[in-house]
Amino acid sequence: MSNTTKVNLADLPLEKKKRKYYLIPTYIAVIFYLLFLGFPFLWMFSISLKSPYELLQLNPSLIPDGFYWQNYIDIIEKRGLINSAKNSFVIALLTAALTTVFTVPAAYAIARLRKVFSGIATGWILVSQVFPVSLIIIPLFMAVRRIGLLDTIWGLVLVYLVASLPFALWMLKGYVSSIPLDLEEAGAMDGASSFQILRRIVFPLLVPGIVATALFTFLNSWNEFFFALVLIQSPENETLPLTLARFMGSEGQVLLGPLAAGAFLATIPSLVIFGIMQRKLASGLLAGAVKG
Amino acid sequence: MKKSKLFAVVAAFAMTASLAVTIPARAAGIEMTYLTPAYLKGTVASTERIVADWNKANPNATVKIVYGDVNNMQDKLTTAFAGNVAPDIFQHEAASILEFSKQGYLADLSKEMAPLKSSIPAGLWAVGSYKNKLYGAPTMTQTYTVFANVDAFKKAGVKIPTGTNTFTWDDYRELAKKFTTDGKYGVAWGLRSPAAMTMIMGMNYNAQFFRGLTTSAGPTLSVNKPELEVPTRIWDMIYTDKSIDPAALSMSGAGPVPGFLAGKYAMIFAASYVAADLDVAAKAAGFNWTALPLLKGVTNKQGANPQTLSVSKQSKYPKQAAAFIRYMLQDANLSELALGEGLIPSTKGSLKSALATKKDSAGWTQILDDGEALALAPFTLVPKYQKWKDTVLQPAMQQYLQGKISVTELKKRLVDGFKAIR
Repeated sequence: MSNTTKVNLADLPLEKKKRKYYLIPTYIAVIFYLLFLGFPFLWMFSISLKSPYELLQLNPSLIPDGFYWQNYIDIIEKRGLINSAKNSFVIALLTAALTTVFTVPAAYAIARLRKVFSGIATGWILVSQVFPVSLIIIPLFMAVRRIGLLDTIWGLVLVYLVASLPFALWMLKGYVSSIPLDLEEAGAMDGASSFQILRRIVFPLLVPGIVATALFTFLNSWNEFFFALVLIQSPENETLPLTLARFMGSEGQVLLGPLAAGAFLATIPSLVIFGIMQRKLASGLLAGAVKG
Repeated sequence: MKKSKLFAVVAAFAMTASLAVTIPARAAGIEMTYLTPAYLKGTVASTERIVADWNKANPNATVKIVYGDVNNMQDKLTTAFAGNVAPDIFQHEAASILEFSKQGYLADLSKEMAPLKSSIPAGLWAVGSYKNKLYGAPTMTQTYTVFANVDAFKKAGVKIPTGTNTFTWDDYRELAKKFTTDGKYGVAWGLRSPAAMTMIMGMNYNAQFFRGLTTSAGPTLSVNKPELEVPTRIWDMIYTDKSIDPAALSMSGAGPVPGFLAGKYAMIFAASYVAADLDVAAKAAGFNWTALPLLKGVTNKQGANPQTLSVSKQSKYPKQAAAFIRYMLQDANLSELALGEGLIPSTKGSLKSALATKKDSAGWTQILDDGEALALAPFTLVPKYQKWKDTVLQPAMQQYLQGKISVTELKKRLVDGFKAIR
């Protein structure tokens, strides 16, 4: 373990001082970038608190005239948002967990396979991505129905799992490949078994990749609309995107207040999940390295 | 990973999995599903009230509401029919059910709805039919109309046009020019999706678009002067008169409403459902609006593409489902549903009921009276219409109205595009 020492700016050589000053525009850029990213979220929250009449104003303001909580009451009490959010959460979590379970060993195997097998496997993954959803939706629908999973949460999990696996595998394979083989060889020379090498060397280094893959899968499942639209029939099994879509009418009509309220609430769980997991994204990056 | 952590992960996974298990609903007697795209607050409340009343009166044949997304109804129904899991009853638009009628997915409602035939305009009945069989009971429909700011007209000393079949496109153009002053545009017209409006308003000039509907070779598309009359008139107002705000070209149908309420425009052209928004402003801030008489070209007719209620042929309870549709079409029920959507109810009784409810609003009275001008439009009888509209007509019209292509190019694209549709 290394000791950390406080660094005084005056003690730094000129090069390092310059580097510190160069950071100022970087921070300014980051602040602007954050504002750029955060503003739509703030705007959405503002809209969610506006009355139907205020939403018809020509020059809308960021700060609402009043707090029109009815939008939230409507979507929670009358449109079943909580139930849809629960369904989405369960589906996204199960999909992310199962994808991770299947992808980690598969990605390791593909990355460490001899080149020819690895090429075939990755080629197959790419081929599976070229079919448009509209082409496969009806056969998929029939297949899900035949196995008795139509209009069930498990049916959707299965479809999302199958849809997520190729890209997740592709993503994780890249992470595995980036782990130097020397580390595994060093472990082997020290007498570690294959399982120990995987558990003690590869897995800790793979944590950021696993977290990134799981987050990617979770968010994709959380936001997915079309498969859910087709495979879910009962209101009690609806997912969040389906519930939110019901605030939009034809010819561009939108129930803006309730839609913004729903979208605002829908964003929170994914932000929380990301907040919890993002530390893991970085933590594994420095865990272990080849001493040079 | 420590054992406690591993246990927590396994427990969380197990809990999540257990949440995913759903318990199927049980009901005494039969339960029918009713797929509706209703989404406005008032319409949702009315639908739930009507279904609750039905269920109370018919405990052995209850109805369960399934809300659908209006923009994806076609996909939803296509897969549901293919998978034999279609809802017993569903609401959709007439032009879109034609393909399902043709494919034999819908139950014939002719006999069940016969008692209502005399109270529904022949044009609407015909739109819901295929080969003389009724597959979609027409419920409510919209017209396209000019909304006027009454106070702006008063201030300018301009008389508000009244009287059926008198307000012409030329009058409209003159009015728009009159109100185009001091950097203000006379009209805003949300033209982001102009396809449906073009087809419906084309009836003003007897635009047919499709011919040979009953021939074995199938319909053909021809675009001549009557078919191009409405697009070219709009183009003239945008580019020659400069009386239509070009900013509204990228707006949805209801997009210009905020500018209208703020007094930016004296008139907007929109579908009748906009009246529901105007009511909100009238109630909150006393905004004084009205609807002008329907525009007249050669005639004031507009193509009808009503909302319809259909019964799936896959339904095990077609008679009960048809009985539910008749219940939905009862005067008070249909009137309430239509007013919630800002639409015109289809039956004479429900129209009378709606007129009584809105008797104090000149705008609403005008809109509800406009139902008489709705007629059968050929496009609603063309199975390939929906695909042509989405893939050819919509983008071509958008480009024409944005001044990117000429009228000759528009014509060519429409005709060639239809030929290419499989």
